[in-house]
Amino acid sequence: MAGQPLTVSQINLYLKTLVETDVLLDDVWIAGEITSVKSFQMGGQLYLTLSEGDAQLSCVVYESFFGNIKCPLVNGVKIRARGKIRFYQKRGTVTFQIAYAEPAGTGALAESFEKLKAKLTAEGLFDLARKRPLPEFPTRICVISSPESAGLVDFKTVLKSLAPSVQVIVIHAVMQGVQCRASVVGALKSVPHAEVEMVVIVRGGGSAEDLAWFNDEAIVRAISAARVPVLTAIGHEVDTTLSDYAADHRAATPTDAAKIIGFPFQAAIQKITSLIEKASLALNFQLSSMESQVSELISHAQLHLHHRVSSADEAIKFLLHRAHQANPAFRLLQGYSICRNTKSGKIIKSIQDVRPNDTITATVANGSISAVVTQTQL
Amino acid sequence: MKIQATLSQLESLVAQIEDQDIDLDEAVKNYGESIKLAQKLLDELTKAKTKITKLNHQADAMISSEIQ
Repeated sequence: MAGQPLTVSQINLYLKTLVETDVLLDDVWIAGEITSVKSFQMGGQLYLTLSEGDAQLSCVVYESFFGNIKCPLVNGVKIRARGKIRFYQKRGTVTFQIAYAEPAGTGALAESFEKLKAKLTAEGLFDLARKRPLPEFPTRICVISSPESAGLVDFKTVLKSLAPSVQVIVIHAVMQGVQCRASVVGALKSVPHAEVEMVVIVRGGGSAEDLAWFNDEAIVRAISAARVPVLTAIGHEVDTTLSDYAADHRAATPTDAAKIIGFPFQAAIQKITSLIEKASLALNFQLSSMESQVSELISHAQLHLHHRVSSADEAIKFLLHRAHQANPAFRLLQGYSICRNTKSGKIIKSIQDVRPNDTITATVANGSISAVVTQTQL
Repeated sequence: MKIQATLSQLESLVAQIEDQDIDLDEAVKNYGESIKLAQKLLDELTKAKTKITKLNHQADAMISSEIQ
């Protein structure tokens, strides 16, 4: 016998009352594997599905409980969650409101890591052939990091000391916890690709659970889809996330990332300095050598000219000496005299130039002597 | 002024001074010109050195600003 049918609203209200007044369903632990994680809605919730074989349960985590989530809510991770079952009257659906979550067992994270790694490796996301070289001398880079985290401070400090000319645009993101996934993916999407030459994802050290958020498939895919090379600096040297595998390059730490970017600048500065020193030395050597050449040439000219002037001087002195020797007055000093016929004034050079009783005048060095010729003889 | 060319000119003048066949007055005249050229050359070399020093300072300042 068919009774009056209930309306959908009526049955949904009934189910809601039934579910939400059940004490067992108001505080329940449920274990399962995360099989899908939906993006954040405007309200700040995270939607996911817990599965076990063919069985599935829709779940939601409200923002106020994000601090209670102790493991990354990413696909493949097996979790134990505590919360309450709620019935949504409008849609007639049952949802598990998670207030706390933790990994289901010690190997849960590692197992999901390996599973996703194998899947993405098979897709070729980690292929070496996909890796792009980092720009050697970037002028502007984009850094995704949480505001003023120790890792970001280290990165900026070291980069500024090594390559102060590099402009850094920081996009703030939540680097761990439930919001990490959407925040980092959103940050990667908002990178001004046309204005920057590379992206650096900076996140300092932390526990394996903290860093495991970077094993999220959505983050890994966003990194591999980036239009400029990505350098990851997540955690410490021993930590490797799937994000690191997807990146074009991995730095061991944020400081290491700054060094990877800054060292080529330092090397170039050293090379330039060395070349300038070499050029300066070579030029100074050439100038000094020219100065020596000029001085040497002038010394040569001086020496040669001095020699020629000295030679000329000697020649003149010799000629003067010869002239002096040839001066008749010099002969007179030696005792010679010049005799003239007093009457005719002619120099007497022969006995025929005089006769007995002629008067002659003999000129000597200091005067003259008159004499009368008495006789001549051969 | 081309330093290398002027240096060659000075070398040629000194070679003429060394030539015994030219008159002494010609050699003295050449010596006067040599002194003038040498002075010019030394002035130019000093200018070049000053310029190099200035450029080195500029380079140092440029590199320092890049490092800081």
